[in-house]
Amino acid sequence: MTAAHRSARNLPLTVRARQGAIRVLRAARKIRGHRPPGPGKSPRVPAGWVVAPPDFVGIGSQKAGTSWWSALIHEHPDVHRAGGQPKELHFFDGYWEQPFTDADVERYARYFPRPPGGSAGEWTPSYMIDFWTPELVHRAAPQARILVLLRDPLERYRSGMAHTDDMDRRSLGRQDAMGAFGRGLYAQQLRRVFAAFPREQVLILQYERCRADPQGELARTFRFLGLRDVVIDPARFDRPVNATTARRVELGDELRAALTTAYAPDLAQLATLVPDLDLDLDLWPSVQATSR
Amino acid sequence: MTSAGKALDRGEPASVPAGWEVRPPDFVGVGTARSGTTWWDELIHAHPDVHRVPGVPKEVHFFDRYWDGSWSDAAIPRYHASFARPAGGLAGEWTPGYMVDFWVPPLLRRAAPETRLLVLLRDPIERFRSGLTLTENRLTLSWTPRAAANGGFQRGCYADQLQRLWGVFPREQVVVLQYERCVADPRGELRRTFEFLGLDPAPADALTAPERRVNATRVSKAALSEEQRAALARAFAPEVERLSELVPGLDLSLWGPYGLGRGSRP
Repeated sequence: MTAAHRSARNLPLTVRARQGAIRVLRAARKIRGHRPPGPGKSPRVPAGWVVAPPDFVGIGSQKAGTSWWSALIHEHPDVHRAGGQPKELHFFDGYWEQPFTDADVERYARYFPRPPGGSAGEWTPSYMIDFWTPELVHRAAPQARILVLLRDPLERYRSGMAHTDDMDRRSLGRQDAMGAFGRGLYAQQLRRVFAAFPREQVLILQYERCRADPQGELARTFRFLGLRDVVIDPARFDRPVNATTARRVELGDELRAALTTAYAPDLAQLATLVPDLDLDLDLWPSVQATSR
Repeated sequence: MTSAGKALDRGEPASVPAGWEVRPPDFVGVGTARSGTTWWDELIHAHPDVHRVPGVPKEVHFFDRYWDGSWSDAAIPRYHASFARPAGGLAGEWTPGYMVDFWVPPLLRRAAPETRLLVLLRDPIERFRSGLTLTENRLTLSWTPRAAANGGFQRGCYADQLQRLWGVFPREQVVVLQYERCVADPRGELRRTFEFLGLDPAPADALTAPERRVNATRVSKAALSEEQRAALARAFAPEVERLSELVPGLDLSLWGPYGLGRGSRP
């Protein structure tokens, strides 16, 4: 009997049972085959189209209207997406566990075919949260314009909790609350983004502003992406896609107050970090604690 | 499995010894997991003036379940019930998750406004590694390597957590200790801890074998690859820099890559 066996025998039964169950799960995973990180196969490149790293990558934020805004960007006649490509590639999700190589850089570009002169990109709102990702995006697409759409962190939290509830079909718990809260710490996330990308390569939009003035904010987005001015049919602005259909999770007064207090330090840093944000009370009610 | 619905606080102690009084805790350790808090809590409780009712654990986890906003001040006496002590004695607890759970500091302030708060911090990269070991052996349905990594990272963003704490408690009510310093000079740091708690510091010098470590992980340790270590060091760099501004006494020479030069990126 090896030393490892002897020490394993000294563990409490519950720990040993757990370890056994984990071994079984891992073995099952091996038999099923390990799913490579990121999206499925890259699309077929239409004749005459070229492959290059993305011109833009949206990296944040979850539950802040990114599906809506991404769809509007793709209304622009010069923005292209090969058939069947999703809005969110999640290309970098698995690279915490596995090293990122030059072959992966090349593989990423294959998801962005476009006719010569055209633009292509994707928007995975969790890239900004995954602490290993911003610098990998920079490595894979150093020239890409980075898009960040932010929303009042309280509203984001509320919507995020509804989203989790809907997806997992299970009751929510402390871990979900912690996770949802962390996704709203924008200044913390942006510090990592700004360490990887020059400021002028990052556009930070506010969901509430986009809702109030979609034409103006979309024109701003197009300019930032180096696209020509095009007027998008206002009928397209109406319906935000991917609105959570789950029962609306309401925050009680107690929780609202706790979140307001808890977000205050990060919001104060956000105001310093991104001075041109419109952090006024009407737009983002949770700024309250910061400004008073 | 989530913790929803589970009564996470460990309830009232079985019985309060005769003559002891029930009051709010004199001290509450609020951070941070995998940083030697069980060891330090034991050393504090070795002080002759610090008392714990048999059956009350180191970690009471009283506030865990209130993430959903269901708190009511009616719960406060139930919290106090864990802190009986003879007249003149001190009592407290140490739940390392309180600091990272955003809803806890305001509730703790309401339940124990005068309490002294203890924060024990460790090199965030080492803390991350140690936490990974723990998570990897915890069987949960929602566990993924990505979620575990993000959770471990969030727990190491100490500056954010301290700022939230200081938004609710006066700074002088909070002491920030460094695990590596406690390891290097346990008696000195224990003296400091006792003084902060208003205790006679002398028992710290008399302590035998303060280097005994409890709650060291009994399962095989997770290892980080060179690339992972480097990625963590870069991601934590702005957070450690902010922390060193917030806590001027912090000795960064004890924290791996951050000791090379303050503010420089590793």
